[in-house]
Amino acid sequence: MHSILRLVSRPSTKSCIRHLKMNTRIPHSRPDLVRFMEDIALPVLEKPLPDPVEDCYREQIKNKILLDQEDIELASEYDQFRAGRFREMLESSRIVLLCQEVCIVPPIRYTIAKMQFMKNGFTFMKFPRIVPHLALANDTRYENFLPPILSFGFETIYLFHKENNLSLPFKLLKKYRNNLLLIGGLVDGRLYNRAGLENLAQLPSIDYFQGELVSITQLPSSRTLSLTNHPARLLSHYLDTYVKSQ
Amino acid sequence: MACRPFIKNGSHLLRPILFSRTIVNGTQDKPPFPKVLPFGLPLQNELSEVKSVPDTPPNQQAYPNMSRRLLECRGVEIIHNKLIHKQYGIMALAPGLMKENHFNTIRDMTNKRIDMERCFSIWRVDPPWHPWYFKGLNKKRGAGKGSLEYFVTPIKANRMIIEIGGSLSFDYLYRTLLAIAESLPFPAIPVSQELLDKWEAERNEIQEKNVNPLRWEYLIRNNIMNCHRYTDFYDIEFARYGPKIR
Repeated sequence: MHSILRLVSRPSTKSCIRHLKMNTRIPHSRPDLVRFMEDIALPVLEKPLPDPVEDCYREQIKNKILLDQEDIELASEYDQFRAGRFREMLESSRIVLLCQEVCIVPPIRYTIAKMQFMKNGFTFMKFPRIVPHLALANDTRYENFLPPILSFGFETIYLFHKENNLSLPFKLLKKYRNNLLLIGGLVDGRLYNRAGLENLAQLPSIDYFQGELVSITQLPSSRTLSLTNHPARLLSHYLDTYVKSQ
Repeated sequence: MACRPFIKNGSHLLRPILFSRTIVNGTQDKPPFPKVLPFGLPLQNELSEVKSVPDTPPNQQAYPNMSRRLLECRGVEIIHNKLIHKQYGIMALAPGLMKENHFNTIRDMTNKRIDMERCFSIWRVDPPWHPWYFKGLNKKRGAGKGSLEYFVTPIKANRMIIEIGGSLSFDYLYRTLLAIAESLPFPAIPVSQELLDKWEAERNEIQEKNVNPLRWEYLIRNNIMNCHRYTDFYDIEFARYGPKIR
């Protein structure tokens, strides 16, 4: 023992005392070789590879919807009442916009935005996830409307309007962009995302196109009428001038 | 319980016996609550007082001085790292020295904060026995060994300090035990038998599923890559506990 101690280097200062406390000094770093040996001696465990079928995005969405089906069974009477109301509003309105509340600003701004929307004829309603899920559970018409609602979050804001004018809500949403974030919407039974709604808003209204169509269809008949009346009109004009000259 | 009237006119001997005045919602008149402990719990279950100075050997007048012997703190505790009563305790994570004031602090905190009518606690460390000396401030080297100042108890890593058992749950006791563990001069945590079993199972699982054929103990003991040139005597001795124990 004594001979070994003489041959080895000075003992390490791991358990030294400084200011009556132990292990307060930063230990000397080990030599590079020993650190390398520490790394190569680390335990290596086999990790099972993930199943590509289970990790597929579509499978995840499907499982999510299947799991959410359990929420419908736990719905209360109030939720069922609200689901009926949601269904009424959905079928009686032409525009349904989905928004999310942005909670950066104080809640008073949210109420001001809500009042402005209501003044302009919008129905401003906030529902949790379970209400549209209850209302549209087994409906094939609104099959594509459910996944975006269920994937958004806990509560979304629904804006219902009876007219098909998108410029007005966009103006208001631009004004209150710090309060509300537009995600997508349903226009005349068709689902659009935010970019689609923006493109749709830039188009003129359908009445404009209807008027143009009517004018185009009426153009040939009015043109032929004017062509047939043209020589007779000319003749009458020349006769008038001749009579006056005489 | 309604108040009974105090008889003014009557024999003085019978007054307190027949019609003693009872106070509603009082604290001083009531008899002591009967002490009913859970089955198996001892009556004297508080932490006992710990002697700060050990008894001197019978053939000597003063306690002999001793060298520092910090080796007793190095390494890992392999004997006193388990719970006797398989319930809860405080475990040290790093080496250190315990003094008289640490013992007193732990004793006061456990006896006052924990309900000893539903729990019991025992010491798992020896009272201070290791003499600690100091030479004095501003003294030169030499001229004899320093004088004895106080006694300490060396503690190794993974040592149990105190053990607590009874009818309380770990969630209930954790915060109190954490505060007690924080008072120690080395890092310590409250543990329960479940936690120890869980860590043991994890260690065994890693050992079984380890695919790496290289082990730290094998590399050090067999002087792979001439590592004895860079390692310590105690690196070789503590190789079985891993690379972090020095």
